[in-house]
Amino acid sequence: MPTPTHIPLATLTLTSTDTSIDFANIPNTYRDLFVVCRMKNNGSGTVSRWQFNGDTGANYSRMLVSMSGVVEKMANANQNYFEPHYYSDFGNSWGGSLVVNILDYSATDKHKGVLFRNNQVATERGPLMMAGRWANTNAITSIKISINTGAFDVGSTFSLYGIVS
Amino acid sequence: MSGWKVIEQKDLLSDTTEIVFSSIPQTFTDLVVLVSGRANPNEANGGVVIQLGFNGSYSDISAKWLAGTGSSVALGTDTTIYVMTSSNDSTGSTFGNTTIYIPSYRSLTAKSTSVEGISENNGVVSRQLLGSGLWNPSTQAAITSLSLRKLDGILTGTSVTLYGIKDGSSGGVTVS
Repeated sequence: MPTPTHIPLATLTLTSTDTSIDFANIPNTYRDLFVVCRMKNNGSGTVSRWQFNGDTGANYSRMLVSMSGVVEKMANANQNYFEPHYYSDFGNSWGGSLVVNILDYSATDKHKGVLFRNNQVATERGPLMMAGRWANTNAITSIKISINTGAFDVGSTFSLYGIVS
Repeated sequence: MSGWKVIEQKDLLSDTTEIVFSSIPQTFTDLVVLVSGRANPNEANGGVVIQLGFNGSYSDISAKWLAGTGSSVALGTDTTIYVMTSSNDSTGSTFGNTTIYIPSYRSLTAKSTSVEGISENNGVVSRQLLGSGLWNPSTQAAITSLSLRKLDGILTGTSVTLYGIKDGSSGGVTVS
């Protein structure tokens, strides 16, 4: 029997608006984490912000490529969260999705690498690929996903999976 | 225990213009399609794109893509979701690889796709493609079939596997 891979850990579909989603009590028994999100706002708010283990310090760096009407690129070091958006914001309709791989999340001897794939098709928006580094060697036990302003709308979904090594 | 469940796999024993996965079970949360493909025509750049369709239709689609050739970058907007394969004149026995992720395929809202793919070509040029797609018909429906189409021909040896992923909870993880 093949070894199962993406083990479902938790999922949430909003039945009321919310300004943040928190995955907690993540066990250290998997190799990687995988998160899939479909988000829209309830009138305002255009980007999601990701933090691990309650860390609000300047420990998040990113490098990305995306597109508006031209190819866009961005690199930022020492930010207070991951923001996997640049010309890939979401709005108040179901226009995209976000797929996230968090590699070696349970390791305690390395910083954490994260790969984000944001998928938008609206005007001046497009696919985004972002590599991030969380400068912390602790295993990830919680993930907070918040919105920059306003709230995530009803129906937004957030699913977390553990990938077996 | 869950994980990626194989719904169906198709290995082409002869050339065809369309590959169809029909009667997709409505028991998963997301779908994943892995394509190892080769298609007509000959392309000096080593890559050919084929189309992704939903429920028998290739309409009501919006797509954006970024592509690289190893020496340049291109981008575009289209009404077709492109899936990268190797072209008929690519290095022999090479097949391009593409992953297509479709979250919430049973929802009655527009369906988003995440596409990453490369053609394979030993030396010269090959292409990499990063794509976002949206299937947004006027009457929303769950995805019950997926198809891949190339009127010039999808070639023998192409392999396509459809997986289902089911969400849920385990291990004491909480979400709020």
